[in-house]
Amino acid sequence: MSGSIHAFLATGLLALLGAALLHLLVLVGVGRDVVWAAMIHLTLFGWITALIVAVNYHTLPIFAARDFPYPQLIQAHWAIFTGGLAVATGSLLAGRRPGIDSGLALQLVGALLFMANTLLLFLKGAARRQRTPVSPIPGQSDIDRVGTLATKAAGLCLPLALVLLLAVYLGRLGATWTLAAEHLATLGWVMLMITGVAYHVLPRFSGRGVRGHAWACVGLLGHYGALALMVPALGWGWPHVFAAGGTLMACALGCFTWNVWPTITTVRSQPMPIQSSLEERLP
Amino acid sequence: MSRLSVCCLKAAFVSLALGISLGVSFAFDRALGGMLRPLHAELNVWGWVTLLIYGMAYHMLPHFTGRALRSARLATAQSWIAIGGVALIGLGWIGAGSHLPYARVLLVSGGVLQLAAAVLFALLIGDLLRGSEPRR
Repeated sequence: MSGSIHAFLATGLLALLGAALLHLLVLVGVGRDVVWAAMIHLTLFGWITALIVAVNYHTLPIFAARDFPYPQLIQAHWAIFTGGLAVATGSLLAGRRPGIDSGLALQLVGALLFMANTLLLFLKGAARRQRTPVSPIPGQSDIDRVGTLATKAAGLCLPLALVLLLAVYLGRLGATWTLAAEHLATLGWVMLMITGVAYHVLPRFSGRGVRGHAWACVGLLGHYGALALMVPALGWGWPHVFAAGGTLMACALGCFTWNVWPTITTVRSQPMPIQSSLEERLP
Repeated sequence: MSRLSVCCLKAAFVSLALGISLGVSFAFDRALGGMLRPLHAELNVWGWVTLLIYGMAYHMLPHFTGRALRSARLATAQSWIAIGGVALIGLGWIGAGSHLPYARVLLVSGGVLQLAAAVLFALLIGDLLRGSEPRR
């Protein structure tokens, strides 16, 4: 693992500890609304985002069989991400509006750097001698393509969610858009990324394929449609549209769960050799 | 995947099912949404995503770093503590919504378990990271 990935994991662990502490304060009943907002921010845009980014920076070069062309940009991403997270969370707790704006702006720059690094990997990354590992699981390459579509959409949702939050704090959008941004972050950025990564790694880790390509396609299309309904419905206050979107999202996530369930019910009787790297594990 | 990872993943999917069902029901019953919104957030953020990350991290990070977890038993205990924390907080929010006595006790106990699980996870993964040499 590179130093930058170590750094992202370390930031994620610190964010987890901070978020768990804030969570406890909320449950005790201390400063509920203020601490709640900071806890949700630190959990979504700190702990969870740092872990997702770290896993992506580690696995993308393996699946793409390329190396990141500018590792310094990943270091810059980490520095801006960590600084923005600290400033935004601290300012949310202190109720300092300029600090919240600056922190969110830094986090937005970090999200754009993540997109840039991913694009540069595919456009300018030097190809590795070892080609992309091909899975022996029948139909896995089709599932991989669906997974890649999901991760691409997830990468778009993170900056969009941060733009919405920033617009709320700058007074350009009403407070209802905070909930819309949080749903775009959880169901767009986090959930689509989980879907994409799961379609790539779960069949390989378990040695079993998912139920089928059709389930993956239907689930992903439903997920896109549900997001397109839910986010504006929350922002503009359209309860019926939100109900339709929520129902569609439940169906989409049902398709995803049904599809990957065989891969998570497989327990290996013998653990895999711990020294083998992910590259060696991939068939 | 190990039994530990599978256990975390199954608990995460149960949380997802409950959290999403609750979210959809809010669309039809706004009063319920006002009462149980914290439970919806708990199930999705701390139940679904966090338990999923715990389970996947115990499987992936030892492979990424090339080192075994210091204590598989501690990792198992951590996972059960985290799952127990989500369950207690879930019951606590239901109790608080129904104005039941002792709901706050459940919430705080669950919060303490969640914090303990986070500390144990940070120690276990921090130990993995400390022992692996980062490459440039």
